[in-house]
Amino acid sequence: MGLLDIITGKYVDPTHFKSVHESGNIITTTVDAVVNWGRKSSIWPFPFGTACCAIEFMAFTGSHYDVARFGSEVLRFSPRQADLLLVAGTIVDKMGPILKTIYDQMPEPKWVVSMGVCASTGGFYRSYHTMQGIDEIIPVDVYVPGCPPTPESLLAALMKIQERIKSGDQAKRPQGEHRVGARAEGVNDRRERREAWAHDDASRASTGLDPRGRIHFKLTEERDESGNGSHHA
Amino acid sequence: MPSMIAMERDHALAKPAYRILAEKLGEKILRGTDYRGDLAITVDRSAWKEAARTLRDHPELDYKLFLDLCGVDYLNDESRPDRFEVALHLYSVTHKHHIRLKTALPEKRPVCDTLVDVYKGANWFEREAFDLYGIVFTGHPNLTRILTHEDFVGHPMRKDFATGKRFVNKKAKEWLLTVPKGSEHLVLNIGPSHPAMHGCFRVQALLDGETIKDAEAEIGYLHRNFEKMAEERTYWQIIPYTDRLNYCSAFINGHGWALAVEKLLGVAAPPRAEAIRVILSEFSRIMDHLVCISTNVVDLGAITPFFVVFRAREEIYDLLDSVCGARLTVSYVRIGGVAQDVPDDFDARCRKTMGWIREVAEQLENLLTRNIIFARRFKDVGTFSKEDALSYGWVGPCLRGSGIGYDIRKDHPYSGYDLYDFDVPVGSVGDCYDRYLVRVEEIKQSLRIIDQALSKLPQGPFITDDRKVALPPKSEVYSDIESLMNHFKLVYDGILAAPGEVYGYVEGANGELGYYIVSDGKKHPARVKVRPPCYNIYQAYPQMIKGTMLADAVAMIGGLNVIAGELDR
Amino acid sequence: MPKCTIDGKEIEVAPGTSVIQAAEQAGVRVPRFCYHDDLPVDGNCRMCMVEIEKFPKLQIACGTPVSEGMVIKTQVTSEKAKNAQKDTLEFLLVNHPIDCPVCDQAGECYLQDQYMDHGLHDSRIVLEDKIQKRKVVDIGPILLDAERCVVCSRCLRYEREVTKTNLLEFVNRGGSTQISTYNGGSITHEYAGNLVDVCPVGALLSKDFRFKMRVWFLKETDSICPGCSTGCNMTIDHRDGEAYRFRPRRNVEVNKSWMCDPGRDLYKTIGSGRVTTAHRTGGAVAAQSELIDEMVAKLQAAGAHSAFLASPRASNEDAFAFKKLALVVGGRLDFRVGNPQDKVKVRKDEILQREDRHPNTQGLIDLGLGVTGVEALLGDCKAGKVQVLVLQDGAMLQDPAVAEAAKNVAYVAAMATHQGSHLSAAHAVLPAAMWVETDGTFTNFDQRVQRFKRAFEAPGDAKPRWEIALDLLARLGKPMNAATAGDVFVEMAVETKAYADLTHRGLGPMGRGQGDPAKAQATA
Repeated sequence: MGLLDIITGKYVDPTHFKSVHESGNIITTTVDAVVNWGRKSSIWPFPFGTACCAIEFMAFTGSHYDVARFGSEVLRFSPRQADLLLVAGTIVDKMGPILKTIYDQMPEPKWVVSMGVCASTGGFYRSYHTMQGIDEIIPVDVYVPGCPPTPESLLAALMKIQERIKSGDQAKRPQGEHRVGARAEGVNDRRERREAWAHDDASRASTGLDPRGRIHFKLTEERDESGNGSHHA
Repeated sequence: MPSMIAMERDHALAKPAYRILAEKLGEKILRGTDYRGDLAITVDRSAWKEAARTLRDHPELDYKLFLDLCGVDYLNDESRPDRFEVALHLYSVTHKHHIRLKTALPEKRPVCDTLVDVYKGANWFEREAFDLYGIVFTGHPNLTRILTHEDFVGHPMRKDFATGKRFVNKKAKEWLLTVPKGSEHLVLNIGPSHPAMHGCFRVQALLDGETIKDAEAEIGYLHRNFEKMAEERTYWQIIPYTDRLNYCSAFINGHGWALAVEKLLGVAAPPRAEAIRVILSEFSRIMDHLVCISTNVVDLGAITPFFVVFRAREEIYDLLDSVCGARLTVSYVRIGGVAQDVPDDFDARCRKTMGWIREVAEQLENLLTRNIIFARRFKDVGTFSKEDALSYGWVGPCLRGSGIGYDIRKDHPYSGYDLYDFDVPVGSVGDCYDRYLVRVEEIKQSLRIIDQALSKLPQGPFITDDRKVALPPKSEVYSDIESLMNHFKLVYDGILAAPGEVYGYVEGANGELGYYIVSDGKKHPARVKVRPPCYNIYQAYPQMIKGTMLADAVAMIGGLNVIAGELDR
Repeated sequence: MPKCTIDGKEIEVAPGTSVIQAAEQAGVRVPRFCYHDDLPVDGNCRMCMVEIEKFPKLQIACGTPVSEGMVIKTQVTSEKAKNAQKDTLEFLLVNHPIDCPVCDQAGECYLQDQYMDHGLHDSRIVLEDKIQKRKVVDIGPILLDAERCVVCSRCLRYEREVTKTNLLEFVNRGGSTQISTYNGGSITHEYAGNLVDVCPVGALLSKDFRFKMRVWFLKETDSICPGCSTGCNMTIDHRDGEAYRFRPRRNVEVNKSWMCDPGRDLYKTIGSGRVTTAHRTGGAVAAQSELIDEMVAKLQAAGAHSAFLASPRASNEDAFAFKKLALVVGGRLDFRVGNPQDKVKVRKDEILQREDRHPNTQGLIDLGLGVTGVEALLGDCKAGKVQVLVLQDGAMLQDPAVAEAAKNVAYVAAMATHQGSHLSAAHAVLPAAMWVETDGTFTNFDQRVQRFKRAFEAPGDAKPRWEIALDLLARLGKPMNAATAGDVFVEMAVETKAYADLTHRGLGPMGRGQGDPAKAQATA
């Protein structure tokens, strides 16, 4: 008996795989692995779409990019039936409690993708009503940069979520808690940022690393008279 | 090519409005200006309501379409004795003329009369002016915050309010309706996280069985402070922000912004740039209509058009990608032209895309227009009368569905629209079905325009050669100091406009998208007010759904094409 | 008073006014490089060309005094003048390096600004043909970049006339003209910062500010230098709560266009080492209101056995509120530690600086804070007769006399801006805001009241001194009817004859000296 590798179309020796028994006809694995495999192949997203990213998300569910082939055929508009909260678009302070409620209503295990820069850090809206990232109130597993991210980026994010499901990782704490209500005076308060950098540089120095942003310049090799430079591999 | 500046220059009405108001108000009319062709009349605040009523009712004036009402803060302007100003924008469909009515309010007591009994659409606009500036309108039925959240303290658009000062909203506002005591009716909260609420707006409905007895809407769930950010950005830096207003047809917002700023500066874009803008605007319009229709029917349970339509959208995205470098939020327009010239295969790409759109539009029509279920769900649902539409300030396909054929492309041609042959579809009944038909027909007319624009695409520069507005070519910037200095000044100082104010407008996919820009001569505009077409349209929604069934309410909202980015700014 | 017509507008000017100054009065800005309001006229740049009737050739506006009946056409109305200015600019740019991306002057460069307004010509010179000169020459606190120099001689005239040190001179000639110090020397006087201001291009740049921040990100706030009793007018350039530099603001009565280097360096004191929370001895953090309640209790108990030591670093508003506090409690009050009143008018050098290193000594004298006599006050403290000593500036504890006296006082409270070991002598430390973080006024040696404005928020819990004093007054039961510094000033104006009928707004940007009429008050 052999295993057909559907990608290459060749027969593979089953004992090659760790979880396959010596005689080649019993696969041993853990329940977790199977369950995770099932989970990652059938992620049901809850599209919390507010702004422009929602339109790219719609393109993502369309036939061209087709998220259905990842098992996300059904977009569940009830949080109680979904396991991936896909926040697409700017979340403002007024929407905050609603987002938190939706997140709380989702059953475990759940993952969160913060799609676009507005959801990740507030984007280029640094002002009196925009939350500087949804991780101020909910934990985020994958951040997708882009304004809006192309559907390919979102696919990459989905695949990262699949990796996380496989490894069993889940974000539990809102990573940006310290930023709740943070002033966003045009740019972040430079005083705080300067102090944070100084602290960071000091800790890097204590472990022997270079300070942040240090670029090592290398001299290019000298060219000889004929104009032939040395060739790098 | 007639540009925005020349549009209303020779209009005879300009004088009658001033003359008639002066006769009526006497001393109370303070000033009339004609800057860049915009008629702006300042009156004393005691004559505010009377002036508005005169403008609306006088047969020679007939400014029945309510466009916009906003507050402006002149804190930094030492020459003005009064700190605040309220600006009202109106339009006369019969005489095809815009007008601005203003009044000044002092800092200590910024109080003004409400215009709710004159124009129904003034309701939310006055609430917004109160929310953002603290201007109080006496007689307003419900003067509460509309855009910012309940726990917000202060009036954020005031100049002394720090841009980044945030307040945490602890709890969402639970009750919008006041429910009579002992009522047995069910209160249903729809949104802001709801599949039918495209984006994030909210409606609370009091249901008697399936019929909606009372409804109240709530917005502000995407209030991203475009206007406050605009006060700290140069005119170029605002272009990406405009993309995110109506994100379904991002290019048109930028086009409108460029035209408004060009009107302010007195600069015109070259013909090739205008033609490119027209082509991309029409493609964006098609995109928007397609999304509107398909998401509307998704709410009703028909998923197929969605997939069909998004295939066409991908083609348009590919085209935009090749021309602008981005799919959705293009930021392609520049003050004075466009960012770069179109690629060599532009014509071929456009025609291919047009082919796709024709096919998809045909499929869509086959699926929907004669579909009995669709007709039953849409005909005679959401009928909105002409008078109400004007009073609320409806524009675009929704207004045209109700029977008033106001289309800026025909009535005030800009960017060379008068060179192209096209029709403007107008409905007769004013129901959802009419609005749908108007949109489908507009897609076809847009294709006509693109076809003509492509075949007539003129050669030439793609941006103005006025060096105070457009960047010098990069090859020069890297090789001589003059161009480098020019580039530097334009990038960090931005374009400097002389002090003044304009109202620039375009026909967006939803209707008249206007920008009221006030400049104080500095590199950032002193005030930018976006006149969002769907703000007025959504304001009428609670009234529209009273007495209808819940399912009809869902059918109606999609057809109004309310885009939250534009609604909340 | 000769009358002249500029661009069709007739104005009357003082005798001796040059055309360029008359044009400024008429509202027309004639472009210039070498002309400076506070330096002698040189007329070498040929940028300020104007067309004057009956003169066959164009004249330089800076070097032509206005005579009766002159009809002048500037670049606004004269095509000839406009073209001449464009040509001059082209010549000036012939050898100018393509340095904008690395030049600090970008954003405040005369070449950039005047190119946009008066140039906009295309270049006709090839990059390789530009003459190359020395770049990044270290001359002390300044860096010289000879390629960027437009040879306007402003720096030479400054060295010659203002500091009288003659440290800079032209070398070589023709297109290769450069400025240089003698034999590689450096600028050794304390007024080098003005050279940076005076240079219209990026030839002379401050080493201190180099590459720190692009000027178009900076916000400007009017302020007064607190370095000495001269009270030079200045502008704070800051961004997001951090000050990047101080620049002088022109005030003909006080400092012209100049400022000393020690004053400029004061921006460094704002950001670091600040006291941000209220604390007790040893650094134990306490809640501000708790500490203030404790102070109030102690003051009420002490009554007349208290002492209030004001600081001539404090603004008039701070001092007035502090005086009110002292009067209400009934304790001793003075400020003259080290006798600053004797030094307030004494010059330290010929140009700007004065011996008294406090900005508001005269203000405190005028407000009458010298009540008890400082010797008596400190003597009483040392003798143990004082139970509570309130210091308006924690830095006063660095003075040995004050530290000595504080040892024998049961309870010492200080409003401090900066950390230090001297604060360990205080039992209660309240964080205070510096002058950049609040509105207020200083009175300089000449009894000129000048206003400074708030640039940004104080760090942490720091509050302005007047606000702390108002808080104490409120808790003592005698609140003052004031919410802002402007209100305190109005209260002060009611009681003090010198400031009668004045408000902050009425002071204007140049301040109000003795004998100036009070400016008309703006409507609310």
